[in-house]
Amino acid sequence: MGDARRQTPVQSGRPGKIHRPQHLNELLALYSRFPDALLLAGATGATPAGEALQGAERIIDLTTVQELKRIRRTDRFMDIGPALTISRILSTGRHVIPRVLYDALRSVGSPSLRNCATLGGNLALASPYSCPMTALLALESRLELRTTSGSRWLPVSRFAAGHGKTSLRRGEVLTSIRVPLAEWNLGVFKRVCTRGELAAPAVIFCGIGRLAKQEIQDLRFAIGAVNPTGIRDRRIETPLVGQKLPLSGREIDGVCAQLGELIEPVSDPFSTPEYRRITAVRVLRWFIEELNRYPVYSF
Amino acid sequence: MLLRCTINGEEKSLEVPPRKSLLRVLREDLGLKSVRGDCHSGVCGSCLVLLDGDPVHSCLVPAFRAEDTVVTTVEGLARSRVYGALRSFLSENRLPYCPYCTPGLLLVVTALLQKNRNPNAADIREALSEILCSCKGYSTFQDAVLQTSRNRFR
Repeated sequence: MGDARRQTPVQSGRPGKIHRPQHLNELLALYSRFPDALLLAGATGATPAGEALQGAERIIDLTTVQELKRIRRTDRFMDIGPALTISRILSTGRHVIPRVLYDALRSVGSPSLRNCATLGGNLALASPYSCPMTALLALESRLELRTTSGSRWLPVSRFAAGHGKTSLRRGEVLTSIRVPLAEWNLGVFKRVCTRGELAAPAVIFCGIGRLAKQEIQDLRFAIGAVNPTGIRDRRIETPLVGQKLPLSGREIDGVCAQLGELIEPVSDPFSTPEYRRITAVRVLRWFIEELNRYPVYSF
Repeated sequence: MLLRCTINGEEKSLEVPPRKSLLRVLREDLGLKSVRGDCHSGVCGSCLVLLDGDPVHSCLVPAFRAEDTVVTTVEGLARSRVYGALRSFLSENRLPYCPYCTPGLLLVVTALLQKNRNPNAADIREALSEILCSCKGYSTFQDAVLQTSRNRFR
């Protein structure tokens, strides 16, 4: 039980080569030369015992690239380096980063896992169970993707192209995560698990809004762990914006029915598709019903 | 590749295969048997070490990531006052020194007390949640940490 040699799969193939670039230009040049290399961020998703690392002939370590480990904040947005560990981002403080993103980052693994795991790595895995991805969807974040020949900005909603698939093109590297800093006076992040905190969640919900004078001035919500990619649809949110509170039962039913039509749940050992469908709609209904209690109920 | 780092206060320089985990280097190459591999997926905490003072699961860390860092295992805590106080508490209360969970528990508590001189119960619970322990009970260990922090910083 205790002997690592008996537990860890034996390394196979050629010994492999590690590149540890110090600067972004160096990284981009390397990756354009070796586009089949494995880009390694926190390495918590591709453990040394896992197949991804064992199968890679060439590994490029992203954690040594200084430009990918910076946080920059202006009045309008916050740029987060994708190779920053989640602990490091959290250490900037609850009042510096948007509250729902803070709560989403806190729900990633255990504290020691967060000392290694990076936000960029979490997004690049394109897992439907990613809590930060759901929060970034609701916050309408954008991602900067670079190659040696140029860069482009992509909304988070278009980054994940399926379970484990991203829209990254060959030779492209995620270089920045831009989170808009708007004034939200409510924010809710919820993670529903069927088998305790260590299991993959059945539903992840992130809702943010701006309420004033008994009116919904803006409202956004995103749902993760249900479909292969996160659910966010302005067509559901828009009819609610500008509505006076409290919302009628018919309006709430309408929103929940619209969400129900978007759900094509994944099936896995952690939960059934039907449970996911029912729970996602219930959490949304709870969120909207709580809006009716504003300002009595404080999020 | 050549790995240079400080392990338990001693500067080391050793040749390691690029894809070898820090856990395997510590156990197989350096003979530090307090670091154990059980789940190999960062859940059980039996492989926990401090990397530059932060607890990490050594089964998840590729050995090359330890380059120019300070790695501490429970063997390196021997002279620490926190370690001494916690060991005394364990023996006074006749709690077992389990080779699977105790090294990890001692390391996370040391890391916690180095960063936070006055941790509250929630801080301690979060730190202890790293380790799967079925022998001592988390509340007993939580009491040990609270007592140690009070005695140490009184």
